[in-house]
Amino acid sequence: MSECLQASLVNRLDEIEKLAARVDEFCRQNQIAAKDAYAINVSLDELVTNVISYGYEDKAEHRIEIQLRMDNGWVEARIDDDARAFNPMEKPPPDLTKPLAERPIGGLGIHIVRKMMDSVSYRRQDGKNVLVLRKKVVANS
Amino acid sequence: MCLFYARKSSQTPEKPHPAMEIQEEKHGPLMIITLNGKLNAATYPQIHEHFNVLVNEGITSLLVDLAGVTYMSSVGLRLFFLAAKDLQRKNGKLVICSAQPDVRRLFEISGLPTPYPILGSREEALQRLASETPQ
Repeated sequence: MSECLQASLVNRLDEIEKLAARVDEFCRQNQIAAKDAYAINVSLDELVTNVISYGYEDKAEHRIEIQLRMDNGWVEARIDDDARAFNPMEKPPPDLTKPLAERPIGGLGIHIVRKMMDSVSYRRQDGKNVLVLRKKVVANS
Repeated sequence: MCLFYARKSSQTPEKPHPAMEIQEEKHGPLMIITLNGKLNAATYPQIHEHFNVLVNEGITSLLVDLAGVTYMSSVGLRLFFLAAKDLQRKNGKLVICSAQPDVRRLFEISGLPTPYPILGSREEALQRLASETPQ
C-alpha cells in the first residue's frame, strides 16, 4: 500500500531536483511506468519553476507544498503556493507559428503540462494558488 | 578556445547546485558537445551561456550528444531552438543525437517546430553534418 507523498519546497530552483527524487521513489513504490513518472516530474517541474521564477514580488523565502497520491489507477498531484494569484490554465495555448523567442516565457512549460497530464484544475483558496493535476497511469508489467 | 568543464555533480544532498557536465570535442569548425546530467531550469543558464560562447567563437556546426541527459524539461526545447536559430544566422547547423526515449518523447509531444534534426546515433549525426557541409 502506498503512502501519500508530501513535500515542502523552498522557492529555489535547486529544490526541484530533490522533489524529483521523491517523486521517482513514489512512482517506484506504486509501480508507475517510467514514462508516466517522467510526465509527472516534468509537469511538476514546469509549474513549480514558473511559481519560483515569476510568482513572488519579494525576495523572501516562501514554501511550496506538493502532495502526490494514488486514486484508483490515477495519480493526483497537488501544488499549493502563496505566490500572487495566477491561473496557468488561463493562458491561451502558445501560438506555435510564432518564433519561440517571441512567446511569453513560461507559456511553453504550461503547454507541456497540458500535453502530459489528463486534467489540470486551479482554484484560489485562502490566499493560495491550488493546482491539482491528474493522470491515468499504467502499472509496470 | 573555450574549455569549460563542469564537475559532475555528486549524489550527496549537501551539494547546493546541480551541475550539467559539458564535454567538448572540436574538429575544425565542428564542435561536438556531450551533455551529462539534467537539463532543467537550474542548469539552463550554464548551458545557454556555453552555447552563446561557442556561437560567438565562430562554431558553425554543432552536434549535441544527449546520450547522458537523463532528464529534460521545456527549457531544453528553448535552448536548442535558440541555438539552431543563432547558428542558422551564420549559415551554421545544429544536430542533436542519441536522446533517451523520455527526452525524445518531450521533443515530439511538444508539437513545436524543431529546426534541427534529432538523430538516433552520433554516427548518423556526423554523416548528416558531413553530407550537408560544403567541402
